[in-house]
Amino acid sequence: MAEKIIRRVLLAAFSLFVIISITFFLMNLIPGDPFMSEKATEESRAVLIAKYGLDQPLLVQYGKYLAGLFHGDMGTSYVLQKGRAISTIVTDAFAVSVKLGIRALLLAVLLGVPLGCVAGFFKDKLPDGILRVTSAIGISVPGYVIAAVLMLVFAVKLRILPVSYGRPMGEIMPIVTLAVYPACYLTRLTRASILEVLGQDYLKTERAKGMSELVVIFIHALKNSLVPIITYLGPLTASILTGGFVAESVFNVPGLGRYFVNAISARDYTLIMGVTIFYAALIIFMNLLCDILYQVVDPRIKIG
Amino acid sequence: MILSSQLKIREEDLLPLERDYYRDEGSNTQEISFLKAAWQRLLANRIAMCSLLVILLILLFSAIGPSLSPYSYEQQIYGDENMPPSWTHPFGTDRLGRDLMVRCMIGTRISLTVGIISAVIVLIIGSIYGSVSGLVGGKVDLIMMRIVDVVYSVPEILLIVVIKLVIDEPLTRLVTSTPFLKPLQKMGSGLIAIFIVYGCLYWVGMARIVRGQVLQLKEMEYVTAAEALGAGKSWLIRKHLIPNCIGQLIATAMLQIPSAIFTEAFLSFLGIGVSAPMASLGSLTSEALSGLTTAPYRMIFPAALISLIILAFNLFGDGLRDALDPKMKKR
Amino acid sequence: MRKMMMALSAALASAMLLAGSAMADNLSSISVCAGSEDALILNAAHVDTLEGLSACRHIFEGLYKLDQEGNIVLGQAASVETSEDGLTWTFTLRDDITWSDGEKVKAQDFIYSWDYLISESDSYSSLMNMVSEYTAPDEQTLVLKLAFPCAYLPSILCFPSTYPVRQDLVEEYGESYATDPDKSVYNGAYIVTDWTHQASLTMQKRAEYYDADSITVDEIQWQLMSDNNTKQAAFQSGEIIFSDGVVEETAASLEGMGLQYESGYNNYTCLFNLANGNEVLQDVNVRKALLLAVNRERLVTLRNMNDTVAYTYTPAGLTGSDGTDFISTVSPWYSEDYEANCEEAKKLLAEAGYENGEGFPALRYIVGNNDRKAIAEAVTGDWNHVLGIDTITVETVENFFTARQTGDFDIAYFGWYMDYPDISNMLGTMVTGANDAGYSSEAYDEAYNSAIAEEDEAAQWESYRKCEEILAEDVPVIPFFLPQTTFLFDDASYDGMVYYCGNNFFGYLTAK
Repeated sequence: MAEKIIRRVLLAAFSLFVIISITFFLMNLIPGDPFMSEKATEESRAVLIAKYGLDQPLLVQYGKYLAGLFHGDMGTSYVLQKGRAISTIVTDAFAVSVKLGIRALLLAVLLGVPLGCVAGFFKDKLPDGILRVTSAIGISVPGYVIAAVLMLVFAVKLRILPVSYGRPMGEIMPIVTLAVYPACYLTRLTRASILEVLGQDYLKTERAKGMSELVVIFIHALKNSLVPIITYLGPLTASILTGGFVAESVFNVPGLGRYFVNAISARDYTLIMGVTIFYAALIIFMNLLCDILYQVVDPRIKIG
Repeated sequence: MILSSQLKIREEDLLPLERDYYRDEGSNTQEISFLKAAWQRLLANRIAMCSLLVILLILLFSAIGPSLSPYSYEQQIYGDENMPPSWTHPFGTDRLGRDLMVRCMIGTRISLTVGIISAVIVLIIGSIYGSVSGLVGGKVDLIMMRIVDVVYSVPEILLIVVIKLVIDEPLTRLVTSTPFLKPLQKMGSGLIAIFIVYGCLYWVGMARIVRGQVLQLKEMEYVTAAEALGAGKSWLIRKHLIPNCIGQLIATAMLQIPSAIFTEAFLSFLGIGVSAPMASLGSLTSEALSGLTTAPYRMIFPAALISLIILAFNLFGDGLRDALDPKMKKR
Repeated sequence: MRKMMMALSAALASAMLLAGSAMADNLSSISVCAGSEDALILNAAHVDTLEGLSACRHIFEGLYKLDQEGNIVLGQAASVETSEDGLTWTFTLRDDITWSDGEKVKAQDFIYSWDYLISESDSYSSLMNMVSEYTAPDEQTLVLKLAFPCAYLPSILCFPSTYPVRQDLVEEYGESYATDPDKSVYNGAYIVTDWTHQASLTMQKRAEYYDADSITVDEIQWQLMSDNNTKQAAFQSGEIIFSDGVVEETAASLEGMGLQYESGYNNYTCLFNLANGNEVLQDVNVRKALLLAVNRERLVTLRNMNDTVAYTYTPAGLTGSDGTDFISTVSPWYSEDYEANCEEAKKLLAEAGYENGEGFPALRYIVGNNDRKAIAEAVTGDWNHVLGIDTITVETVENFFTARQTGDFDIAYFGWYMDYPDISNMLGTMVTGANDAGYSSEAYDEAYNSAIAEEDEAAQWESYRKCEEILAEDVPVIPFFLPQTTFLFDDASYDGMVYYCGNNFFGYLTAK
């Protein structure tokens, strides 16, 4: 067991290395460089490029970056927060994303899973119909539409919630924006996996033994339908914890999600790398965690 | 109540099988009956059939609609700017006086194209990769799955934006120099970037599902039995793998369509979707954001279309999975 | 009704402030919009965004500053003497000026900051090009020797890039200088007390500032927002009292509710890529046809933002010593009669070999955001409508400035927000090497260089007019209209905001 886990961790480290390399070279393929602004002159650009060593051969830059990384140095931001250490930027932003993300995740799970059970329990009856339609709408409206409508209704028209995250109660709208899609998706996923499990023979036996449908669903079916839910929760947690670009940019949240896009548009190379490494590490870790969780809920699955 | 229904033995279960039942080994009666049964299950599923109808109507709306409309999607009708819905312009007009109904038709066409092409790409790459990995097994499987893990942990938004930027220039050059690719220029490089990213990234989900199914089947007693009886790999794939996987595969592919449409909409929100004057449902909704207070109708129609398409594909995908999955019985 | 409620609550709020604050009519705290995080640069040598420049004007101060009316007056300098020939300027610093850590502001701080500005080679490193030599004979005196007599030197020395910085701190923090509140010291009216990156920045009034009595706002919260919809919503919900972003489409509905127009000193145009764009753009007849076919009246109506049709590249409002507007002396690029322009455009396009737009190659017109996309689409609509060209597509590119600079376009949006109201600042954008059109004309460069070195206004304007004429002949750029600068400011509750060339100073605000 321990050996298997060590092997998984080594493999994870290797995956991370591959992603770092791909991102590094891909990023350098994008036309442009970090030092192009509307008012910069050619000479001033050249000086900056030389200063940051961006005029050296790509492989040399790559080697230097890896060497720095090995010593825990991710460099400083070139553009977006000129001069601030990448590690500080990423951890600061991540702290905010986690604060929001955990609550959005809880909201999504606490709404989605029970509602999915309810829908499964009342299959093809009215509550199921209502839930299926609402959840379908929830997964079919683009996030920016949800955010814009929330903002229009609660901030501009009703004036009961603030637009910016920093204000009291400012977290509510970004949390809701983040949670709508996963909550609805979870409802559907839970419903589907519960129905699948309900069809299996051992549950028929349970029923035959005279257990009430409710107990069957909540105790047995839910427990056994956890695998697909956990599979979904792994990447979901990672993506919610790293923040949603839409919720963050509309509601002014200082989280990590905005950097995914902004760092690229600014050609902020070190920041692009920092954000990628962080995200990839988180995903890999989450997948590892999921694998271990699988074992807990379903001992038949082996860690590969 | 439950007890009695579970234990009820139907009369037909006790009848002897027809004489020819086992004889037709070589022919494909079983396949036909499988598809037939699936089709019947699908027909019986009211929600799925409604969704199918909606999909067909939307296809019609986007395929034939533009040629029936008196306006073209890029035509700016001077003097008709910012008109709310009316008889002449059922969906209203935008800031530049373009008829929104015909723009929604064209937008739907683009969004559906993006969705379907992406789904096909994912289906092909994912199922080939997954089944090879699952069937060959051993070291190859291990390596292939590590590659999947790596691809899985790439931040996709980051990659889409990066790839779009990287291919922008070479692609524009290619499109302008190759005459038969000219229509692509009207769509812009953003859409092609989506296809590439789907080809590069999104197949992993599909590959994992296919591999999982293959592995599961490999463990099944009846497959082992068939193998022991000397059944070939191709026979196994045809007779057992495909019928058993197809439900999952098609359902997953169906779900890729909304996901691709969503991705396109998100790119439009970032401002890197289709090139104007071409429209997609995503670009129409994100353009409508700025006029949400003064011209909400510009948001309502394209947003409703996106929702309808995604809803219909999701529900139809569900129905199809249920119908094609031999394990799923009517409960 | 709601408005009354707002006014009432504002009055209540200010009444509470009165009770709490020592200064009778001081505002204890205001919130304003500050753009996106990357715009808020507080290092004078690097700052190049309107939001960053505004913020720097609060925490640093140069030899000149803006007064309550937005005029340029002496700031850290107590007096200035100019030599007969206008080439030597001698400044004497005030003796009551300090940094926020208690140190005196010395002449050497200015010398260092100018060296630093040049060595950092960022956007504004060449701002002080007219100064050929600067020295500090003692701690309180600065002597500037100019290459040519430059009447607008005060506006340069009032520009944040020329503000002093402290050598010891720059050297101590290096790259991270001024990226967090504790990594900088300030010589202006405010100090930065808190900076939640990506969210907000707080400034507190500095009691030791020599003119602290005139500063009526004790605390300024800068909310970092990047999206115009968000900014406008935050303004409408009363969270911020100032927003630099307005959603063009709905702006008109905010008239009388805070929408402000200021004379722009900016233009709104599109550039041709003459260096590596499509070959068809090399043909001056094609460029002229495109120039003439634009229906500018329609653009102004579409935008609905009080713009005026542009007949020249230089914007209005740049007046001479007798009050004449420069552009009234320039001959317009095209006639006021749009129909006639269209006829001529068709003829020119036919001459170029593309009668009715037939065979016209596909071109890419790039813009940076949705508002600009709408205008670009209206323009391509005109080209389609009048000239029959339907092969020009508009693309919003997310990396707009980079794309424009690398020449990855055929046509691109271009608008210049002048840094200081002097004609040279506008016409300088078309000099060889300074423009993204890849436009290079010896005649133009010569006219421009002789204009900026000229002392006599009449002769100088003559050369500037020549510049305009050359541009109208070569058409590297198509002027559309002259926009106003628009922003949202709660003028129902507050008074006294200073606006200068896209920059704002909030320190003099008072409650109404």
